[in-house]
Amino acid sequence: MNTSFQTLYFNADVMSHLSKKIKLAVAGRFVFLLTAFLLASGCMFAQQITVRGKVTEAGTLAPLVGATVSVVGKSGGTITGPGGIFSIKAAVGDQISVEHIGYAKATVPVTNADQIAITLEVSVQTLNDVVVVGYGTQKRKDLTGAIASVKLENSPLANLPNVNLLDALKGSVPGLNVGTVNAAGSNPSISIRGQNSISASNSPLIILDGVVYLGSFNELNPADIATVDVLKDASASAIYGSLAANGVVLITTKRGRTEKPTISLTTTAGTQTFTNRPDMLSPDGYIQLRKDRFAADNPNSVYDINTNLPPYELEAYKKGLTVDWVKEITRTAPFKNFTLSVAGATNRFNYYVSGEYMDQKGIIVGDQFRRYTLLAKMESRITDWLRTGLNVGFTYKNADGISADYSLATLVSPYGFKYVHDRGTLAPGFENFPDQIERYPQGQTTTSSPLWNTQQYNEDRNQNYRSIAFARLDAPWVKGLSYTFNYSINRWEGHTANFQHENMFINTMLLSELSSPTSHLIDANGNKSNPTRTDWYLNHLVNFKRLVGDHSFDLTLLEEEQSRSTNNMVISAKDFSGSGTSVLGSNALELGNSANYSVNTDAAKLSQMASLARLNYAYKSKYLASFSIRQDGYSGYSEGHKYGVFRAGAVAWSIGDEPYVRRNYKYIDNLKLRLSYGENGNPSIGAYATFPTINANNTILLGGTTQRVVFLNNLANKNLNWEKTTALNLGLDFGIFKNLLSGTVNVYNSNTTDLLLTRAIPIFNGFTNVLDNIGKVNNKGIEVQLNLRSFNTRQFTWNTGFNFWLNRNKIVSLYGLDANKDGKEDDDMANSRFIGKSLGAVYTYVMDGIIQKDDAAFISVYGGKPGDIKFRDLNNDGKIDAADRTIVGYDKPNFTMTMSNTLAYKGVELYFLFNFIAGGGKDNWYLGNNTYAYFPNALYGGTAATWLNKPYWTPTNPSNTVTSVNYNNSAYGYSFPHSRQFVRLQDVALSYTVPSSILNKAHISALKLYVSGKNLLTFTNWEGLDPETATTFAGSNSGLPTFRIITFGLNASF
Amino acid sequence: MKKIFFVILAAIALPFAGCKKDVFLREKPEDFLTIDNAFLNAAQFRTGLNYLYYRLRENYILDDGDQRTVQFGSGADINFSQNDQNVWTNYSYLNGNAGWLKDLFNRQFEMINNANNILKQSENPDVKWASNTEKLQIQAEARFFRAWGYRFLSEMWGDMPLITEPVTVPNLAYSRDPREKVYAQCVEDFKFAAENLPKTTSEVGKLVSGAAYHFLSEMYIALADERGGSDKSLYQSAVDAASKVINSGDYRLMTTRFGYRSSIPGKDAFWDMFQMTKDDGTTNYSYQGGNKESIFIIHLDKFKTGGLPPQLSTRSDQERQYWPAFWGYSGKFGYTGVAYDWMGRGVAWVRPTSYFIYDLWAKSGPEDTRNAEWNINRVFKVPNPNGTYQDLPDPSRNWPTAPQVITRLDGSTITVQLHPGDTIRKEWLVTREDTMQRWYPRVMKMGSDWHYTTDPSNSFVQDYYVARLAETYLLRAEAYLKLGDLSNAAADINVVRARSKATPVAPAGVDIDYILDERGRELYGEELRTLTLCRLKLYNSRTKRFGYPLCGSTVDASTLKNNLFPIPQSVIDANYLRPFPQN
Repeated sequence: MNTSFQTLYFNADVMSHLSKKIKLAVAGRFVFLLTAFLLASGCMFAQQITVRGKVTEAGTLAPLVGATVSVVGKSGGTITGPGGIFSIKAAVGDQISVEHIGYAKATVPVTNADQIAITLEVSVQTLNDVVVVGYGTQKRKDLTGAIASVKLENSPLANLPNVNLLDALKGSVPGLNVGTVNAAGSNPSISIRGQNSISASNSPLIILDGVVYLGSFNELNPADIATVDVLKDASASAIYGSLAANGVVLITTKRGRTEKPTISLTTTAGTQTFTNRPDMLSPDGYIQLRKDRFAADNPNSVYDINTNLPPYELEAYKKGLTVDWVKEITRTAPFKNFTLSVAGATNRFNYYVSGEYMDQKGIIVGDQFRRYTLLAKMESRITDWLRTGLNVGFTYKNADGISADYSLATLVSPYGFKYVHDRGTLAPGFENFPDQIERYPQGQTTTSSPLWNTQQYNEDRNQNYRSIAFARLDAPWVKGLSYTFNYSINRWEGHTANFQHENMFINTMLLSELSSPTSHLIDANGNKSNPTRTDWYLNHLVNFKRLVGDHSFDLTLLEEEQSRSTNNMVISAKDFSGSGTSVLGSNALELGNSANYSVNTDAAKLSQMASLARLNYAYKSKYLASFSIRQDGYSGYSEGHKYGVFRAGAVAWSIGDEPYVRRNYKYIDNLKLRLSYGENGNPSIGAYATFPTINANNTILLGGTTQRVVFLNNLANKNLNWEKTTALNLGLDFGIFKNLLSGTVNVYNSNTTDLLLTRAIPIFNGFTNVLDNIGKVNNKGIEVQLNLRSFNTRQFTWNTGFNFWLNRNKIVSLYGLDANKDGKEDDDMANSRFIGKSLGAVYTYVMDGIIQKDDAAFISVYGGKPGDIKFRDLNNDGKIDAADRTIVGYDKPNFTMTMSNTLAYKGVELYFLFNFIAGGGKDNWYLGNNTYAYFPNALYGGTAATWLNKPYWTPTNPSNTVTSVNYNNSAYGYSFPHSRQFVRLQDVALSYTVPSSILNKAHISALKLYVSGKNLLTFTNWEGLDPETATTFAGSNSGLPTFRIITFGLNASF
Repeated sequence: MKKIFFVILAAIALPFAGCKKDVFLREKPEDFLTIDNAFLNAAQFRTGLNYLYYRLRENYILDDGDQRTVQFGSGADINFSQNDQNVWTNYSYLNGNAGWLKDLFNRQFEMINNANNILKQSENPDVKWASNTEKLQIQAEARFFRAWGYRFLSEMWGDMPLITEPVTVPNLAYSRDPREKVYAQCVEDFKFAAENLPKTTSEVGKLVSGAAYHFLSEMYIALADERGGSDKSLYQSAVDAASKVINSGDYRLMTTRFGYRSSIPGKDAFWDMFQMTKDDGTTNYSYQGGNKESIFIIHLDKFKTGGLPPQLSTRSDQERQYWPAFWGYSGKFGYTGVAYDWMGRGVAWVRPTSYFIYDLWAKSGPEDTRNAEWNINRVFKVPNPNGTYQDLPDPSRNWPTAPQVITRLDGSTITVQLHPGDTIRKEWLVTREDTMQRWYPRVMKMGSDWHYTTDPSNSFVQDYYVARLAETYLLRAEAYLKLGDLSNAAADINVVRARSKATPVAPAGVDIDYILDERGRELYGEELRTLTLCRLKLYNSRTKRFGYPLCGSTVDASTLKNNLFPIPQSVIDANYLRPFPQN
């Protein structure tokens, strides 16, 4: 907020500054111009006239207030007032230039007409765009660091069904990795430029309208966001010092643009389905699986369905009753979103108010997410030197309910009963419970109905209240000096509750239990908790900008403080038999047995403060430099270690602005080389981690009474400190052929040291381990961003964006231990961490296919039987054991590539984005474990559970990838790593803007209709729910399916 | 305008001008205690001491498992685990990775570290003491546990780093202090504890001065032995320390029937001493309940919070560990696989050696009632079909078991068909399972002939003696022996023997082996016998001479060197800045 605000009101200062620069830029041509004037015209000096004009937004023709108007080559200028009106002194033949944030700059010649109408196009990215760099803004052309920007306002990205802001950013910024969501309303993972930390956070710092945002991404309405800037390199992010080791994401919300209030209504509705639905065995296939399993286990017996199929399943089999469990627990889930906003701007006042309602059901029964948000922003210019603003946000989230157990649904036998009454006449009495779900559909207490847990009562809600206030003073008598004060206070209140009534505990196979569930009141239990967080943030910012000759200085000084307090209380109770009822659930836990009450209360506080100085310097706008130094204080560290200093420096050379280049390489529009170095920190620990805490959870019977037991919980390491990342970035920005092709290339190398790890210590210290800053990790990578404007005619435009990024990670050091005394630091095999290798190593055996019937030679040496896995004896010692494990690959991507296209013809616009995450390569990147797809005996397949509709090894079907149905994996615990490389058509948005000629009559200023989709097509060899999340079709890491969303939307402005 | 500007600037900036950085960033824990505020009064110190009791208890009972008895001498001369894969049965499997060994080792240092912290905090001037006596008593308890921990460590593992101050900065370069120095610290700590603990207490399970004198006596002997045995004054000090207990007037051996089951006929006082905890918490183990032989016990109770370790919250484990599983042999000699009340529910993890079963009692003589049928059950009979014991009057005799063909060791076969009450003959026990797991003599003090709700599976809780007067006599006898005073040594031993009507030993018959044998007879399953044998440097030789053959044949070639157990490998690895020699 302060940032965009500064940009707006800066213009008075910028004006003179800018005009001088323009003067400089044209100085070379002055002689030429003078001569031309002398020769071509008899008129030596043009007559100065007062030019009046009006600035409006192209398309809507809404007046634009606050646009900067100047005469090219002259100092001074003005700002458009109410109605977008301005007046300026100029001469006929002069060029008038108009600039406004978010719009492309326009230049018009002065004619004799006394009114000039200027329309500004809403801009795509240009070099004059303002980029939020943290504690201020810069023009893109003046940047020295690696900063990527994504514009959401009026962009095709805004038409996508983005539940979460991160969904919109996914694939748009090289080096920014955004994960996939597979539950309603959930947050995708996010990381920038690889994994720096092993045990501390890898999440970037989020700055919302200039202040640190501690909330969750799913608490923001994506429709409120105007732009997102990502600080990727250490020099750019170092101004956030200790918080910024994982990069910084700066989010700027929308503001008023036009004097006439713009009322905007966006509504979308659509449906979500599976991206990849598991193909389970048919009921017949299931019986065949059981037969094959029996035959494999009992080679001399014959499977008799009457004795070998368990009684319940047999009963269902005889009646022909089957249940398609995956179908039972999934659905085509609706998605609804509705946003209404009002915005406007005068030269004294700017406002933006919006409200949102979102309702998303998950595709698993029981999964749902609802959100209500409200955002109100006001900025006012009280005097010429004082401006203030207030920004208030409110979010309510509701994710109540327990989802059906997807994993169970892929395991339970297709022969069974969904409801107890399904057993019909064979089980008299059960028909009296028409709605009762059968708890054990296949008659075994080890396998519950996937729907059983959805019956518990569950609340998961929270409210988030945010506010940001600021004031800015421009010292009227010192040009370029300003002081800004920001203050933000936020409150987050969670509310969770859970209750399992007595009917959750009954054995539905017994009539006696169905008839009297109250006998299980003793098991009924529940809890309720109220976590809260209160945080505040304030900063004082002094800024001084000056242009002295060819030297431009921009100095920023900062003091900031922030603090967060968290509190929680959890109350739980069990055994409601004494009360005879549990009907009041978690709202009356006091009815439980007092002997089983449990209470837990927590409180914690974390404080931070920082001072920063930053100098941006430019010489002739060609040679750019930036230096910053920041000192951070963090309450989580102990005395003497609370402060850290983080430095950064960057230089850039705008080669394209050199006269020589300008003259000789006219096709070059922009060419800039950047080099930066910076230091960042990661607050590796939370509050109180350096305290020797006391554990008081146990009791002992002494002297006939129960007494509390108190002991030291940990060895405090008072020396704990930041994980530090230092990084070097080399960047190149270019644009050629009138920016037909433009792009950015960055290469970087970062080292993270003092990694927080658990270090083993001898027990003589009283403890066997302690947290310490010991490890080292290196990341290096390359990022390429290209934009191609293939067509740019009035009727038809075609823009292509291409992003490529590759990161290589390496563990340099871990615990510094060399127990085997081989002179090399030891690997941490238990956690698959290997010195000199990337994190995410997959350390296991090498599978050479399946043992076949004629593999007698192999069997004679290594044992095993046909249908087992054939492992490679890496050390050739005649046995397969732990020594034959090796790194077979890594779970990290090889590289990521995205391509987006925007095609526009008249009012029709098509946007689509392909996302390619590559695996393979020499080191075999991007593996995921997939036991379930290649090992039918995973999870009792063929004995108590079903499996995929997929051939497995049998004597008559000698598969070489899938094991036999009774292969025993316990000896090796092989996890079947497979590539999960994929190409995905991730985003598609097709929109139609209704011509204003039609709308005018209906008093609608703009109307856009669109249809869009996410995750429409995925091309991969991964046999699971989704390659990106490495989810399998079943099993413990089955996770949940990724959504395919298709929505229809309407966007109208009044 | 200028004025207004400055007024506004001041109004915004002033409230923050006074903000102190250091105060702002200072952390004040709000929902947990730290060492700084956990020990500021006597009540808080007692919660810290409770932890030391809690950890000491874990050396006797922690959780279920067949590795949990090595400290009681399993694998040495009188006990062994019948599982030949057990690391304390086949010592060739033993190395520094043995999990339970590491647990034992680590536990003592965790106890020591907490004791050191309590001792350090007790000198904090902010502590509000009611009296200096209160402070000294708390210090005495802490020092008792520190000494007890070092006793355990140094007896079993030898030279140990001697740490008497809290560790605040992790150290990865510890070195080993001589065992003699560690023993000297134990003497000092036990002495302080003995002099400052109360003589008696009304609180069951709490420390008294007698317990400290008991262990002080042992540590004087250990220290003297470690110094070569020439310093006789140390043995005299051991005699004096033991005499402090014996002559205090507070203690005497229990020679007559006592306790809540004293009316059960056909038993003796020795039997009364080992009765399980009654439902209402009554225990025959406690001094407060009238057992004047009891110096320091671990009192367990299934029905009170904190009465059992959280890891084993339904029962104590002695019966499972030590008793044979004859009940579990379905279909043999009338047993059905169901454990009835009188059977107990042994799983036979620890079995007495032949040396214990036969030789010890042969040496002691037939009069010794510790070997009477009620104390060591050697005769097993066929039960009634309904599980009641064979001694009940007839009708039951009409129920014959199914005929069973038994192949005897010499290859001949015999068909047996039995009736309830018939004695199971030794010649019928022909398989390894029969003799190792099912029918071996049942040491009655390790279990109970009754159980809560008559169900033996999870309905058994029995206390542990940490120090009992009989052992104090045997310690003093050892000190007298080492002073060369054989008649006093024999006199002390005979006090213990007399209670069980055993014939007295002559002074000439007393040597260290005799004392160890007597300890075996009296303290079977009670004393931490491994510590005793390691202290006397007789672990390997007694194991070879008297132990289970597999134990005896593997112990010398194993990592159990110089009568010391291997140091946990994880400790050696973690101490990586300085070599930590393995034993």
